[in-house]
Amino acid sequence: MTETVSPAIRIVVAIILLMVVAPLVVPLLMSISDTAFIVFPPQGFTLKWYAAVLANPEARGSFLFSLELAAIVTTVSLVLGIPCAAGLTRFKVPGQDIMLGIILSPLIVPLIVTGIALLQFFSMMNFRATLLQLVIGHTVVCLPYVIRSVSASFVLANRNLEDAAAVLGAPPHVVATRIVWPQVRPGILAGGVFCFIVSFDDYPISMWLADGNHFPIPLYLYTVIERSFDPSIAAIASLMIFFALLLVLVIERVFGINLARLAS
Amino acid sequence: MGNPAVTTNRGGGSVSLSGISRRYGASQVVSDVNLEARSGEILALLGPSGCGKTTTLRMIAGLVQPTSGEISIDGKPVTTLPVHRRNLGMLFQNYALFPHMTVLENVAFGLSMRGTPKAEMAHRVKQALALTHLTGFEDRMPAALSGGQQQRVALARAIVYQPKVLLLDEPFGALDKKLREAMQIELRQLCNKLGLTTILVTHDQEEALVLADQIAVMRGGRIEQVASAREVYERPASHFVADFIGTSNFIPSAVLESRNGMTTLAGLSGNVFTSSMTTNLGAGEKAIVAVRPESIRLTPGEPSGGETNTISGNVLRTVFKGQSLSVWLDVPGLEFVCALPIEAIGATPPEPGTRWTANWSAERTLIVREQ
Repeated sequence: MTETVSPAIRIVVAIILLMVVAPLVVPLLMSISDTAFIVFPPQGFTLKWYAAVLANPEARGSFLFSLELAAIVTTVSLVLGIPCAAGLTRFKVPGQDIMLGIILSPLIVPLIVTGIALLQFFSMMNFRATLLQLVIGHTVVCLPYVIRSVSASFVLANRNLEDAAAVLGAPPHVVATRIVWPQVRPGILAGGVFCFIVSFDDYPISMWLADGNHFPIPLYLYTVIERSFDPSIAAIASLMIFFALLLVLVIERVFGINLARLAS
Repeated sequence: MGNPAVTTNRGGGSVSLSGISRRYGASQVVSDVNLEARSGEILALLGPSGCGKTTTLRMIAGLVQPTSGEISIDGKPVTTLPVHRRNLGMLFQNYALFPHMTVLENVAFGLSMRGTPKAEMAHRVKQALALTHLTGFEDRMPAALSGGQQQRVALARAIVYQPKVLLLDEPFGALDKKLREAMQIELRQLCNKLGLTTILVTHDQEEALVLADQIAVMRGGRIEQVASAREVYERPASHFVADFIGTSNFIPSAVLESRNGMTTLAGLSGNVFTSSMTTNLGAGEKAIVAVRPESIRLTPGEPSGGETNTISGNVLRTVFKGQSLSVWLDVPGLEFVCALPIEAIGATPPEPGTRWTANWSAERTLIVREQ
């Protein structure tokens, strides 16, 4: 579809993109500054801050822990979210809207409130498994992303195709794998990617639930900011941005899915 | 195109529905439908939207469970048999081609579900594509095909595994008129060639008349009439059927007498009608006389008197329709429409305001019940 877009719309889009992207460029520029503290605009050029960050066992540990946590959370969210989304879109369930409202509510309630509520809840239960707490906390805030994107793909899936396949002799499990799956796969992958990134970037939930042995990278970044103010902070931030970007690019390349289109 | 593997399957399965009903909550969508499609026959379920025809078809396919009643194919009850084990072919309204599969994969789908060996599969797919004139399109994706081509792929996909029964749900609705007519004739030839029992759902009376051996006219979830195309047209069983199929002039009347295969009726304005249709209505009972516009001859002026099956009035308007001229006469209580073949128009064609008399034969006088 090649439609001519009016110049006014182009300008508005350019401004919005600039506002979204510009702040991301700032840490990138600051991270290469050859100064002992953060300055903007950067002075000189060095990659030593990246080297310092990558050599730091604490930073590495936090980064790996965040990866592990995000992977677990994504798996759990998909396992819970796919059947839930399928059920809510395919069947008429009493109280459907209320259920959906509750599941999506973490998108509305400030995360910090959800975090403190979880902390209180866990301490009342005398529940001390930190990793499990983090997984539960992150899943609560990640699940809405999975549900929304997977539901959308189920709503858009053409039911006629399933009827056609059944008439052609496909038993239900074959209909699910050969007809439904190819249609909902993009939505599931998009949900998974968003879920992973939300978990990986989460600060307000982790802040309440983490401990010294389970210390996600956003928390680490914050403590570093409090301790010192050298460009290694910008290097960590830049690495996180690169990582998220890489994730999206890989998914697009490997699965050939236009995530931007699905996010809308 | 004599290809033994496909044509050996001559003689489709007979389909019979007895006492089939389907209810959704409080609404009765299909009520007590009894139908029989004989082996190799094309049966059309014809009716306006919401008459239950599609639900009936989906019950035969197994996509909808009947609330009550029994469906059997070739004498074997299939009412509780799941869809994927009924071995039917079906053409859906919007073709329902699998968008993520090529033409070849779409057509081969039914065979792969049946565990057909690779070599035989390739052979049969090739035949089905040849039958539907799709050779060379194997590697195309459905989105890259025109409407007519998509329709052919859907057809090839439905017949490739040699089902005994083919179900068609408004198959030509999305095609333009020319293509639709061509596809209808092609489909009819194909069904006859393969000896497939075919059940077709349509709201288009012309389509039903062109394609079907038998037409079941449905209304409000019930069958109004099941008969051959010609009989449904020439001997409609009810006011609804006469109105739905073709155009008719309806004249409210009362039966005078019925004997020796002839029925005499009196119109409300004093006209007398004779019909070669017998009726089980008694003398004095209300009936409706229906006359097809194309059964009518027009003569200028007043009737000569004493004739039956005449009605006269001033011409309201005329419309040229290519093969015929439609003439509306102003008759008390109705606008009486006549379709005059172009070659039957004399030196002075009917002009608005002039007085003309319509007359028709007793064979063309249809008697239908009021609703």
